[in-house]
Amino acid sequence: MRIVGLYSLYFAHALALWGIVVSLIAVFKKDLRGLKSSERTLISIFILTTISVMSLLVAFLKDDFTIRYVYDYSRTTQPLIYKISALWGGMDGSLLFWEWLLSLYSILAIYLARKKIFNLIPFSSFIFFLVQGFFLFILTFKTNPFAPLLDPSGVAVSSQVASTIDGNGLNPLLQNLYMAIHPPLLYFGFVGLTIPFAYLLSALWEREKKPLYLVPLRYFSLYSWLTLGMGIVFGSYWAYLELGWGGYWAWDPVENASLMPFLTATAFLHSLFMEKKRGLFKSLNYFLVVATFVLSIYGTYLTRSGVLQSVHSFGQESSSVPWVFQLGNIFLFFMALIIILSLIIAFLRRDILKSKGEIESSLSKESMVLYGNILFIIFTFFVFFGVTSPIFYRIFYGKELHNGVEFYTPKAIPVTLLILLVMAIATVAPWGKGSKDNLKKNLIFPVIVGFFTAIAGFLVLYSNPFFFNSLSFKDKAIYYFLSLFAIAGFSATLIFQEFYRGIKRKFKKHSKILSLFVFFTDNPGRYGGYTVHLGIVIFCIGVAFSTTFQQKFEESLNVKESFLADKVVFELEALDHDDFRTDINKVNELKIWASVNLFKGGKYLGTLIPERVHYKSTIERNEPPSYEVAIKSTLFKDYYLILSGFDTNEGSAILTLFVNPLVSWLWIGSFLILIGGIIAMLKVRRQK
Amino acid sequence: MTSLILFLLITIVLFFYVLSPFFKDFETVPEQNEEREVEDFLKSNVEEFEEDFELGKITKEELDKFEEDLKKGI
Repeated sequence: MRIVGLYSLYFAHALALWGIVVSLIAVFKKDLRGLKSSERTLISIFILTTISVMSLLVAFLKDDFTIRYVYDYSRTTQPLIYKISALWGGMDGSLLFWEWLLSLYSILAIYLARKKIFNLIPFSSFIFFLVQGFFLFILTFKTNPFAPLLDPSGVAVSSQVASTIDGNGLNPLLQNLYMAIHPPLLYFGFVGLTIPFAYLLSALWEREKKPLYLVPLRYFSLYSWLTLGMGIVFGSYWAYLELGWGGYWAWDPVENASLMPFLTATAFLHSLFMEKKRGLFKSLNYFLVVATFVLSIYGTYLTRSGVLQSVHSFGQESSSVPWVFQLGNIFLFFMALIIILSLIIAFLRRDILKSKGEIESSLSKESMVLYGNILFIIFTFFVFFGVTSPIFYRIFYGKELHNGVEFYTPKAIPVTLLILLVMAIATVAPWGKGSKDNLKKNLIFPVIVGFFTAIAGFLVLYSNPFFFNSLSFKDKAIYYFLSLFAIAGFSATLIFQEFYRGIKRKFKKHSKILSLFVFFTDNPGRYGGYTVHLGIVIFCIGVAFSTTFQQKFEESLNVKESFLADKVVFELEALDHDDFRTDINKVNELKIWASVNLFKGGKYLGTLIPERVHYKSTIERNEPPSYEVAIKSTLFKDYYLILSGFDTNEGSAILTLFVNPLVSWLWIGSFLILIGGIIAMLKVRRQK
Repeated sequence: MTSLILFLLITIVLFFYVLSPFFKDFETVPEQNEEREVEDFLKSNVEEFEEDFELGKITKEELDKFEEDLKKGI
């Protein structure tokens, strides 16, 4: 299978180069043969990369340790799900998975909306071949997932020898169900961002006047935005469960690398809506699409080059490799190529980039979208600065610089609050010139509700001594919280007001009960968008509370002893472990666990079982066992328990407890964003 | 061995599959009739403005103006 997978990659790479040539023939000569051949080449590359991916999967399932990548990321005793997820568990396999997805998306982009984008197919194919050619070049020459495992003398290990050895196994941190889902979701999003980039460049190149391509462009953009967003949320949930520090977001460089394209894609989705409806923001959209695509590649560069240290890094390349052939620099060359190509096309087609419409009022919906986009660009810029400045600091000063929470959070809070405010006003802002009186009329009730929400929020904080003692009137935080309460109340009221109008409108055609469920079908884009906005409000409240009011407790207990925290009694019921005499080569893991009972006012609330897990790799490297936290989650707070230390002979344990308020709101908000995004993608014809 | 032979067969088939369009004479890429797509595009955009009109968010004059702008844009 190794040879089949390997040669599939070589052949696919040759085809990508062929595709570049034939798609250019179709672009410049309008040659139907070139167009047909390039479409067939896209299909052939997909077939070949599918063979390649399947070969690697089969190698994982058959424990074929003659392949270095399989040896590095799998073990005979590794559970099936992690043998499959090992496909994207390391750099080589994840790039292969990326390329496979890209080959699939290229076909979907060409065939799903064929009539709407027919004129754009040749140039779009050229872009797809260019990007695929780049990834296939890396796969064949730099990070080949089918490279053989070598014995100490540098000779490829034979299948007979391989059958006697066992692999290293997947990184213990990655042996988590959410980590099996998080990377593919991120890749679905990252790779999907290639499609809007290809469409928009093609539309500009082909001087496309009819904006029909904006329809599939919106669908693919929305899909990519949604999957990228869900990928980020799943990653946060994984970090929350697996890393054992009580949080879910640490402004880690690679977390930020996925946040940046997400922010620009969010901005793009909104201004795209304006281009479709009013012919506005053409050049802004072009800038945002190029920036989003380049930032998605930049994220990959940060992860793969080893230029930054992060929990996600794949390591640094040996300095003996010539600089021009170092992986990070290859990514930089490619990004430079994309930026230059985009600039050249923008310059050559600058007449097309002029918007047809214009903004007629500073309080219109169009203006609100523009303000929101400026804020998103500011947000992206400071995240970009925070991620990139340590690289330049190291180059110029020879020292390490780490930008953490203290760098990002003070900047993120005011920008996010402003985004929430603009988002709320945009809900009822009028199109075009609009009527200011109408706007005022629509805003009066939500403003009053926002005022009372701020007061109610203040009273909630005031009534809880811990909350109130954590804040001070000299501190900005209290004012941020008051603003958040006010904006959240204001925004939620506006959204529900709009839902109510939509439902009321449906009363004319349906029963009242049915109207509640089908009110969004007339305009899924609008009501899906409102649902996403509501999810974002809930999400932001969750973030604000869980990051500001986290409480930490640490106690050393013997079995049957207990401690009190947040009016809850935590009793160490038992400390147990697997049989340590078991040969680690015969099992995937060995566990130590504590059973902790929770009581409140004498009432039993449940049992939490935090674990520590030994894997073969942690034992061999003499590393401490991995954390598996236990969480009791409610609507208002999470009890997050970690087994920090243990003595199985004495029967004692050190337990660390985090009480995290409103963390559930993050996941509820994310779920609403997902639902809203799916609704927005529905295509339902209006009933007259 | 079987998989290798199968793979070789696939590569030969794919090779001819991508090359075969060039066995024919030159032909230019045909123009597409996009009338229906254009109609759909206009209709879906206008419908959203109509909803705003029904909800009292825009006036009849504004609705007509937006509709006119959309037609001009195509």
